[in-house]
Amino acid sequence: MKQLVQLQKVYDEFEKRDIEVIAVSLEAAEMEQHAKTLKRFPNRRFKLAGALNWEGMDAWARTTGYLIDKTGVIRQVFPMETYNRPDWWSVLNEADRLLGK
Amino acid sequence: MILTFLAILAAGPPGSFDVSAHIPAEKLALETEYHFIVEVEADGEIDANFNPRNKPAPGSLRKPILQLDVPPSVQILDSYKPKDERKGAEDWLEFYFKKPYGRLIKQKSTQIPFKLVADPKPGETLGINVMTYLNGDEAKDRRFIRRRIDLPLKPGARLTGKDAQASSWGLDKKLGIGDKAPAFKLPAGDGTDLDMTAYLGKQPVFIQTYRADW
Repeated sequence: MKQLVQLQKVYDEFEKRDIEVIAVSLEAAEMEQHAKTLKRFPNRRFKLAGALNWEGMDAWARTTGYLIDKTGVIRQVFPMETYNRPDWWSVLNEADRLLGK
Repeated sequence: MILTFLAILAAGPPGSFDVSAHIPAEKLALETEYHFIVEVEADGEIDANFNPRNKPAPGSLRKPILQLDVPPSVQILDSYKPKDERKGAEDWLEFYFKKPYGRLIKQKSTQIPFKLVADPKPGETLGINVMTYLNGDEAKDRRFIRRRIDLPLKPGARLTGKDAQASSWGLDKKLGIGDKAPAFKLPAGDGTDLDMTAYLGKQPVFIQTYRADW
């Protein structure tokens, strides 16, 4: 959950750029587990959702970030498998570069 | 001074990296093992063992990752898979190998064994993506960089990487750059649903998939 805590801290930066942030759990075997996550972030501003065993999410890779422009096209893919954590400032820098400030 | 300036321009910004790849074989027969070689050259340090708890050096590249878009005529051989004896590692490595990222580049030069299982179609290439994070001087000055090479399946083929903003991500048909993000509707866990049609195509979105213990 450390990564979600960090996301909470930099969320203002996403908001300044009018970027909606959505975290999707792909491996929550039960929705109770997802609900437990929600309880830990009662004041969160980013969106959370849970797919039950990847259902309907086959096209999305796990532990990966997707930067999507306002036309709905994916502009960058951040492979976070290796680190198991996103680098939020790299994401923001790429957002500035690809989507404009 | 002008020469110095030109030299800096030619070398690119500090910490940038270039990728080249080549097939050293003199011929490519079917069902025969060959290697292609991927080389990463960086102005800064390549930190293959990056630990986020350590302060990275400015300009260093953190754990460059290799991902392959493999055409139907090519089979990457199993010996490419890294060995890991840890419990449960087999499943993990199987996933790690197949899913988008291939594996880490632990050395500046990485050899990948492959064989041709069919004659390549004219113009068929092996897609090689190398991606990494570049550390800047401050926490906020970090960049994500990707280079791509579409290496022709010909003996002696040699190419240097380019910026890969439009590269595909086709190894296992996961979504990639340039794809239209499909809408989905998922439980938000609080009794409501998160419907992506409310966001996609209306404003920029960053979607982060994560594991339950992320």
